[in-house]
Amino acid sequence: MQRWIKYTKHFVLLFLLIITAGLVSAQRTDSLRKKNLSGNTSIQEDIHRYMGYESPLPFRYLSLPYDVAMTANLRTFTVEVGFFLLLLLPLVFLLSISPPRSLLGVWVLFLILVLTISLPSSYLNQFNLEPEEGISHIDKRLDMASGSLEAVRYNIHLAFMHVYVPLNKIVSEISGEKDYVTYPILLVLLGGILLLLHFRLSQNRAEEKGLLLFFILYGSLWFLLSSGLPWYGFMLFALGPLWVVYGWVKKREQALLPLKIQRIALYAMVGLWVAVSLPLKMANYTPGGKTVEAKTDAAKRVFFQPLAMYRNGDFTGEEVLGLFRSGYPQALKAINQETSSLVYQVGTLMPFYIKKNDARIIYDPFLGFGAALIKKYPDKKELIQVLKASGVRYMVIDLKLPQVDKTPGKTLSRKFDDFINVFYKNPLVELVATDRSVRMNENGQVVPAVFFNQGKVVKAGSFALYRIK
Amino acid sequence: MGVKITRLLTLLFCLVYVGILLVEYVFQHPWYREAISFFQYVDFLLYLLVGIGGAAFFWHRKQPKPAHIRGVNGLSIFAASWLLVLVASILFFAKIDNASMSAAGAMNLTLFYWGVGLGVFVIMVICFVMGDFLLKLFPLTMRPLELAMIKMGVGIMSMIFLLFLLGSLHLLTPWFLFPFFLGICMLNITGGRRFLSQILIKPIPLPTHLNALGIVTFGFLMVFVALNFVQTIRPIPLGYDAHNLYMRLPALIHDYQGLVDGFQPYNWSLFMSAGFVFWGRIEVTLALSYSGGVLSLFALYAIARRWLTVNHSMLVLVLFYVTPMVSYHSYQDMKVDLGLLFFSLCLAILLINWLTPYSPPTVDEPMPPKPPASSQRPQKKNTKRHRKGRKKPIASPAKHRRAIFDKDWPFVHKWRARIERATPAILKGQGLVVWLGLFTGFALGIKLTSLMLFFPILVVIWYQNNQYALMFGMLSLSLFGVLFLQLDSQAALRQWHLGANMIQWLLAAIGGILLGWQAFRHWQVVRQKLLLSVIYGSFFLLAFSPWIIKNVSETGKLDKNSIIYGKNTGPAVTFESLEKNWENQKKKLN
Repeated sequence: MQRWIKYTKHFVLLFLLIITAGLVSAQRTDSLRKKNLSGNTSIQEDIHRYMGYESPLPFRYLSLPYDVAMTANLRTFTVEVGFFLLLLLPLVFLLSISPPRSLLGVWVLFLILVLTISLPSSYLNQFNLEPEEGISHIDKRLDMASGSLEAVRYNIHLAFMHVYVPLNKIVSEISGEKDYVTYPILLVLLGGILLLLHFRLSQNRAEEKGLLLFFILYGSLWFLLSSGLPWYGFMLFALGPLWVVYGWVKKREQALLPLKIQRIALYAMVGLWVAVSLPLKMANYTPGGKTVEAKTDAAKRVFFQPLAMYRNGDFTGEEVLGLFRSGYPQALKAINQETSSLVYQVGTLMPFYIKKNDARIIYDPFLGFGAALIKKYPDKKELIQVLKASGVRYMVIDLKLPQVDKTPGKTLSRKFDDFINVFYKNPLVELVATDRSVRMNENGQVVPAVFFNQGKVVKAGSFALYRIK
Repeated sequence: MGVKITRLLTLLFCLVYVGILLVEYVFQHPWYREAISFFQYVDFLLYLLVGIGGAAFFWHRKQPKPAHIRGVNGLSIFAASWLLVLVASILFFAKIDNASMSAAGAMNLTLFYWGVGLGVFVIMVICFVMGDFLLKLFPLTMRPLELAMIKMGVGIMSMIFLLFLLGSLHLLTPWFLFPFFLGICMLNITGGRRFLSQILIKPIPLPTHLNALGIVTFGFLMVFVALNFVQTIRPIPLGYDAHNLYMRLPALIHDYQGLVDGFQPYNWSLFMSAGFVFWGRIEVTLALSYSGGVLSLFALYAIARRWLTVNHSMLVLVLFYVTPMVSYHSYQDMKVDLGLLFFSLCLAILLINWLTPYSPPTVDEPMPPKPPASSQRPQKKNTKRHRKGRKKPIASPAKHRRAIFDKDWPFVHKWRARIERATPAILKGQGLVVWLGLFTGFALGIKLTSLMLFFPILVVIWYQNNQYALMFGMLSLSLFGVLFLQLDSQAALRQWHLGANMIQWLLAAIGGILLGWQAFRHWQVVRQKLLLSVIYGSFFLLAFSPWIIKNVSETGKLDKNSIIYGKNTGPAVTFESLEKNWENQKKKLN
């Protein structure tokens, strides 16, 4: 107990540091709270979507483990890591009720705080709401809830939101989009976790303590530096299960649960995880569709059909490319006619197929360069001439680029609109290939075309290739 | 009473916590419900349950439990995976309209499956043989499975280093590479023979406490491993990063038959390019990228077996590998992160062994306690009939090692002795720290995010033997380093933290004061830690140095960006050059 008190003094000092930083922050609350709606850099548009745009800043970080587990910021399988780490790893600490029992209380309070921040902030971020709008939004959803489980869910959200709104208001006094307090808070948190584990693991073997220390520090650096990209921290998802299983199968002197029940709980969770993962695997992670037929068809496709037929010997590689990437063979035939001209590339999957792509491609995936060019040369004909003067012959654009825009101000979408407009009725360029098709207003024919005002879009498509005349 | 209340409240909290998160997870992931509701492979599941369940039942009933089952070896497991994939393919085509799988199709799939498997396996054999050879010259003492992982890691590092050197001379053609690496493998014929025999032919040893849980989890793991592998057999990459970087590089290396200018350090892409430069096949290239995940499974298993039974270790592997993100990176978007994970796990193995050095069991040690009665194998009778089949007692470990080494080329012992004599005193006994540095530097050459490995390892080195003050001091200095090098600016995060500069110097002060205070009190300990850090850091830089040399020679500059990123990829087009060319064009037209 005396050691506990002694270490607590160090924490009081560190908290004073945070308060000081907070007071400094409070001097500049207006500028801190202002959302960055003007321009975002390409890195921000590309990377920050994984972390989310919650405000104030400490909540953006503290909700990160929850956001990653729930794929709250980006709903795609590339970032789907499952529920068991978020569910079972924090509870390992509670599986022993040996003294000092105050540690359990501290840990429980910490988890409650994290949940109180994570659930509401993630909800608000998902629907792009301000905190004041949260309660009414949930109330409406609660009224429309279709089952008892959904009603339970919204009631949980409502309860947390009632606590979150005043908490958000308090923290917003010293923080916002930028602040002085988030780094001190995170550092104190790291110190606290290390301290708690020091008390709990003092009797463990050296290699266990060492590896756990490595795991926590690696996790902390991922937390601070990765902007929420899960695959930057693959070690967490490899060693995390190790700690989960080790924690849940280990025999303890003063255990929360009998060992048998502890293990059964673990086996049940793992069984559940495998049971839900297998159907998703057999659907090749692409279930969906709007109708029952479409959903049924999607669930059959454990393999990509053109690739399975390639393995069967039914298709050649060229045919597979044409099936997978409609329009690419035609586009590549044009680009690869010669290998001296430059290609201005905005997204797409083409670089792999372009000959001498290391010397020819001007790579501008998030239109950072393109936006600057448009600003300098607002006349679209002049812009094309500028590029042509430097040897650019082809320009290929990802038509799905706006879909990756998760920024609050939709800055990427605006850049895309400005850029694609360069090609609209521009006599200096010609469309070479696209996989977008439009039913023309004038004659009802379905033709490859890029702009919607020419007719009704039949297939949205993914790319357009223009040649500079 | 206090204990009961604590237990009750804690249990209640756990149930509420799990309940909240599970409910939320279900609603945030409707695709699981859809995949289950519209599940089409009930037949496949039944075959699986019969196969895996049958194996588990057979094992459960088998008494006494055998040490191994003849025929259950690496080759037969690969064959079982092929069978699994064949069945899945037949069922797939049966469900899809306008497609079918004929006998010719099945044969084609078989040829692809075994062909690509062989292509990858040959590369892995070469890597292991080189790694095994190097660890004969620079021996490490570890548990056998952990040592095998390090050998594989060292071997892959060696292959990449050699490809780097040969690539700088534009010699990456199969006509050169095959004889070259065959010649290198001749240096360690015994290692190669032993590896092939153990991996392919020798029955896999079965632990006595293997039970139905272990078998079932292994079965499901194999489903995911096999389905991921077969999907790498294709003529095109999938995924944005694969097209734009990680598969683009191997293709360029193949085109140039050498290294490519520019790009961030690309150790793993160089390894992947072996599929192109050895075999000329994109399928092998993709499968080599996939192999990072499988190697990670082995490494994770080696770590888990330190503390867990084989059954629980399998649980760890299943929890990791069935994650959709892992599957996605295994066969869809071929990034380098799974390859990096393997090396990260090798670092963990080295670290654990450094923290608790391994002592192999000797002849004089007391026998370990007997396993539980149900898992005990019966004592064989000492009659003449039974003595015929009984193996001779194993010689002492020392004699056994000599017997193996005696089959190596004589120069191996000479070289090893020379290396021992030539090793500076400062490095004697620090083999693990040296390898930690080399592996970390190599990992940095795979992806720059490996700096997230460098600092934690440094802190653990200072923590060893519960040195908390030293640990906090080095942790503060490491965090200072992170902020000073502006690593948080890479993801444009620094702009959010207004006090970052202040914090960084505060951390430097805290670290400096703590370490200075400890140096004053326990100079010898701090001196030792400094020495270890210098060794670690030096070999870290040494392993990364080929990329530094390449980048500096391309750019001719020594600034931070040039050292790390090298030459800019793509044509030399900048805003200024565009303006200049346009102005020149306008003048010509006028």
